[in-house]
Amino acid sequence: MEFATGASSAEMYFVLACFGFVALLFSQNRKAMFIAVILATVSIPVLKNTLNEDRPCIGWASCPDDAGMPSGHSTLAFIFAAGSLGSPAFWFFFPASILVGFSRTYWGAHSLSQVAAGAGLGIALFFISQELLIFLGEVKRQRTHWKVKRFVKMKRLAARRKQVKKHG
Amino acid sequence: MGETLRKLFHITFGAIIAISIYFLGRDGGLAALLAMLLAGMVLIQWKLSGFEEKVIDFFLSRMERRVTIPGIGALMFLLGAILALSFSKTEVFAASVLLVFALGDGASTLVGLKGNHRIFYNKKKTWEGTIAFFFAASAASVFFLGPAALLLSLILAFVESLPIPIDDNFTIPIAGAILSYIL
Repeated sequence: MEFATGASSAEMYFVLACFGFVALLFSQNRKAMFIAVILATVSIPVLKNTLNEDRPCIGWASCPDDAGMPSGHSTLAFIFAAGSLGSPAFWFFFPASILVGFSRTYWGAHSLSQVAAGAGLGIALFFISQELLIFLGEVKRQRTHWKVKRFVKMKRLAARRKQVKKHG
Repeated sequence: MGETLRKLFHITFGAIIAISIYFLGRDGGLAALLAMLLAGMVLIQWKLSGFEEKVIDFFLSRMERRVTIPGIGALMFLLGAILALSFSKTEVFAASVLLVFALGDGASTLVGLKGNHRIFYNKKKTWEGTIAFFFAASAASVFFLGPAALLLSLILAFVESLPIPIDDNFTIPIAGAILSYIL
């Protein structure tokens, strides 16, 4: 299989990023996602240099020069998947993250374990960012149980539907 | 009862994952953990959208703390396992870190809840819990690591007792992974 990180993958990631930008409008936790992206940008090169694990494509013509562990693309993609948990945007970000991870292994840029490490790191960085924001007082800790929260949301939706029906 | 059941599940789940990693190896273990992580994320999203399933609801109602995201404890544990396995020097060390974490954290909560002697730098934890962490973790990991298990358990027991604002599902595996390059 020929290694292909050229136009095809760049275009795919660009399209995903455009859709992702729109999907971000429908998700909460944008501040934590932003902090997590910064943390990932700082930590990924450090981890790659420290672990120094080869990519599967090593020796191919257009194989990236840096080490493969963990996958940076998967880390970034899964930050958004974790951040959109509980919002409709999850149904965009989650399949998109899987697609990114799959493409990295399919094109030989990363092994499955490197993608798994990237996914785990991305989700962990999101939750760490959220806890740091709560600790710094930037975000309030939500204490409402998810069942109660869902019940209140459903009640509000029903009331809104009733109002729309009443006023046409 | 809820906390005891939760910790017993934590110990069993952690021990199963650690032993599986020992036999599956690093790549197989990470692939299995990734599959569980993805399935867990979909389940959480479904639960938040109103999906009901008897078996899952049974576990959630008995073992979950008062949380804003259903099943977040299990998801955090899986993330910790992925971090330990990805960034530890060897899979044997990663399996040991997970055993230390599963048994040590479980024992520290079960014993610590009944303890009276508060730690001076963290009033939320007790000396009894930290000592229980050390003994349970040492007993679990000594078969994999030999005498190094005592030092690993001692350092991780200290890390667990620190008042860090980050979930201990992350701090312990990360500390364990760093120690794998030092010990």
